[in-house]
Amino acid sequence: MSARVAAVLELFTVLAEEGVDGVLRRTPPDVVWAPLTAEGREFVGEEVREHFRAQQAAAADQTQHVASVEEHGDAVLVVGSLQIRSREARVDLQPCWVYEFDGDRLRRATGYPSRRQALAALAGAEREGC
Amino acid sequence: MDATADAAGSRSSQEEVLRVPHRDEARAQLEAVQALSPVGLAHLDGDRRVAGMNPAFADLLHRPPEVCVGRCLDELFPDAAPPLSRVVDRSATAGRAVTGVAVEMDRQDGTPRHLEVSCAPIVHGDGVADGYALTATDVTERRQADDARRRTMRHLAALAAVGELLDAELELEPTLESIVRVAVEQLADWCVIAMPGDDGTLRSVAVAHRDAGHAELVRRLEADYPPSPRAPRGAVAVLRSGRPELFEDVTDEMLEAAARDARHLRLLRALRMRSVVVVPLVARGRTFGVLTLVSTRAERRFGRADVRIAEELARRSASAIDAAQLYRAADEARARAEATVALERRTHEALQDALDRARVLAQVGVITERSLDLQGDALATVVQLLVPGVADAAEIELDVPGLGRRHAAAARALRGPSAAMASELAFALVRRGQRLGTLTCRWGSTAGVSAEEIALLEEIADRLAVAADAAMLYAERASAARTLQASLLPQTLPRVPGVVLAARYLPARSGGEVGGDFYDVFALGDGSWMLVIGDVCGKGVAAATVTAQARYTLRALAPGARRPADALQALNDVLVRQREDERFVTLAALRLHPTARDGTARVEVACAGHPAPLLLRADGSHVVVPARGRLLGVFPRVRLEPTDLVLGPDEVLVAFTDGVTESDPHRVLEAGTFASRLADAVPRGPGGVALAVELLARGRAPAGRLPDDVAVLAVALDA
Repeated sequence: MSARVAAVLELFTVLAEEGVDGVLRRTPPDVVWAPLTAEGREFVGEEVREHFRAQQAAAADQTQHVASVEEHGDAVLVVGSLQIRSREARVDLQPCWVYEFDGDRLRRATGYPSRRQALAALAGAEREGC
Repeated sequence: MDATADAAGSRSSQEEVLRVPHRDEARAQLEAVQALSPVGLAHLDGDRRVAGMNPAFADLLHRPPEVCVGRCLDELFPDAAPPLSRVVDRSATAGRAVTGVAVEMDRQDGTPRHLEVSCAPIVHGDGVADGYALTATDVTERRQADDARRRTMRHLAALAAVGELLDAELELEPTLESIVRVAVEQLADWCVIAMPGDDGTLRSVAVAHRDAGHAELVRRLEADYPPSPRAPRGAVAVLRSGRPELFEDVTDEMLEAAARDARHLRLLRALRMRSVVVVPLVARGRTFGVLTLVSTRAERRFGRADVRIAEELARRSASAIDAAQLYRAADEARARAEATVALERRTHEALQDALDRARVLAQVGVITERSLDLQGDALATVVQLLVPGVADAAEIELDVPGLGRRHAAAARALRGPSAAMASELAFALVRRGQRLGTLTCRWGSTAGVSAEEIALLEEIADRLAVAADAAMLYAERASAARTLQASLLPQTLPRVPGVVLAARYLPARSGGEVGGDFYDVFALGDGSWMLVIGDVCGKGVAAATVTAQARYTLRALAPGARRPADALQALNDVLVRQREDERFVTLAALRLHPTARDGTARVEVACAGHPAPLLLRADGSHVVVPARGRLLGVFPRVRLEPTDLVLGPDEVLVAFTDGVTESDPHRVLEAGTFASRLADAVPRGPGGVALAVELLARGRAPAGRLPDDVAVLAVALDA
């Protein structure tokens, strides 16, 4: 298990145990967060906290589980499940989260609806990077 | 012109002493003038006896001149006032003429006669007066004319003054006081206005007397000896008859006859009534009082002319009094009207307040009854209803088990230097012995809160407590429902290799009951997976048991079934055999085979009375999966028309319950239309499509509140 994968799995554990604040404490302040539930919006560092607080204010409780992890270059893909429970709805998703690193430093975290889309995005980024 | 005529005619004092240079010549001249003069002329000797007179003077005496010669003036004019001898005395004392002295006496018929008398000493050459020349002119007519003129002037002044009251004075008491004052100034020595009281007794309501001290005497007389209601004459009689009465001469005998006792007589005599006129006060045909004019002077004796003037005065006074009474009545009526209006306003305000309170209470009731969970909006609306109508600030704090802490507050901005809350009332929200929160109201002033407002707040607090208690129970029930509902759904969606899934379950409206919708995803053991979505008729525990039965029965039957349709047929057999409540089940079963080498996957689809799944393609096209069949659990045999389809890459297959298409109960969404509206979500995969389904369903639902549960299950290949 690479350090990046370990770091990513650690973030999932921290998220489950300490919430988003714990994640933010353990990640650089300039990480760009693009949660799947944010529908395309991006947050830098602490900004993502408000997104999660808004979800909590809507009485939404969410849990996520890791199904598989794979590395693609500087990125770590996590295929898992996300369940959001509120009075209004129960939502089950199987997203794919992509954690992009700059060395060991987490640079960006993005949620995709599927692994396929995540890989497509990574491929696109690599093409842009070339 | 001779000196005598000059003295009598012009009353000039320039010729104060008659000087006669030659006695005989002067006498002859004097006698000639005397004979012709219309003025009474008399010659008094040194003893002041009449030495001679002309015919005009004799006419004043109604006696021939010869009878009068040698007699004293006072003997000839015994009732003259002042005595003529006094006029002569004044002339003698002054040593010059005294002119124009007014003397009053009675005629033989008793009528007054007014003379204008002048007297001058007759002085001879030695400067010694040895006689007096006397002139007397009967000025009775002129005097009467003057008196009449003056009386008329007074009358006119009185009438004018009273008339002015009509314009100037509208208050009753000042009007009465003005009338009696004017009457005393112009017409009489005292004046009384009397009006019957509530008991019908005639009472003085205004008194004026030329002598202020006597006014009190008159009042005392009226108070101590009120007129008898049966009196044949006087004020009471005038009030009764409406006709005036004139007491030209009030004699002592009359006073004695009227007096009820010695004190009464003393009072009557002390007032020195000489002449009295009593006239009715009549207005608009109604005699409502009397006006009495009294003269205390012998020279002011009322006659018929005075009665007429008194009547006119009374008529005008009556109009003024009537106007004042009307004004008072109007004023009282207005006051009553104002009081009535004020009372009505207070009543209206009280009613309005009550209505406002009732309205607030009703609105609070609606809010608390409708809000099953007392979310912040409901509480905020309640406090906003209380501010500022009931309180300057209101705050609700709830701490309800199952709901947690809730808080809402509202306050209006206070102005002024002491813009702070000064008083506070807190109401505990207690239900079934459990404190669930607090309603606190605050006011900027220390003014007391009305009992009605306290009652209102107590009622609101009670309703809030009931609502909080209901919310607590509802929360418990909803929690139980969610727990049960969760047990009917997979704890999590399984990871199907090469596939991505998404599901949404949306409880109807309140979410307080277990719905009949469910979905499930399970492996069939041959590498294929069964995706199931279903809907059990009804809600609640009974429906939940059918749901559980259907879900787990299908899980048991599906692996052994050749096709999904067979599994549904078997499930129908079980449900029909085991259940008698005729609860039916609709189901869509999708058997997803492993992804083929071409990157597609075969899907077998069977629908039993369930909405057809939709196949959404990346190019925006769609397929309404043509699988049909009858619902399960009712008929022994169901006819199903299953179908197969191929799920390609970037395509999303979505199944859902009828809560989606029937989210608007009045306008069922046709499947093709529905599918076309989901096209944009396809690039976002199953999760995006499931979200689009939810948004579409909520968008069509009345007020965004879903009338029925909604379940959505979407799948896409994710190789």
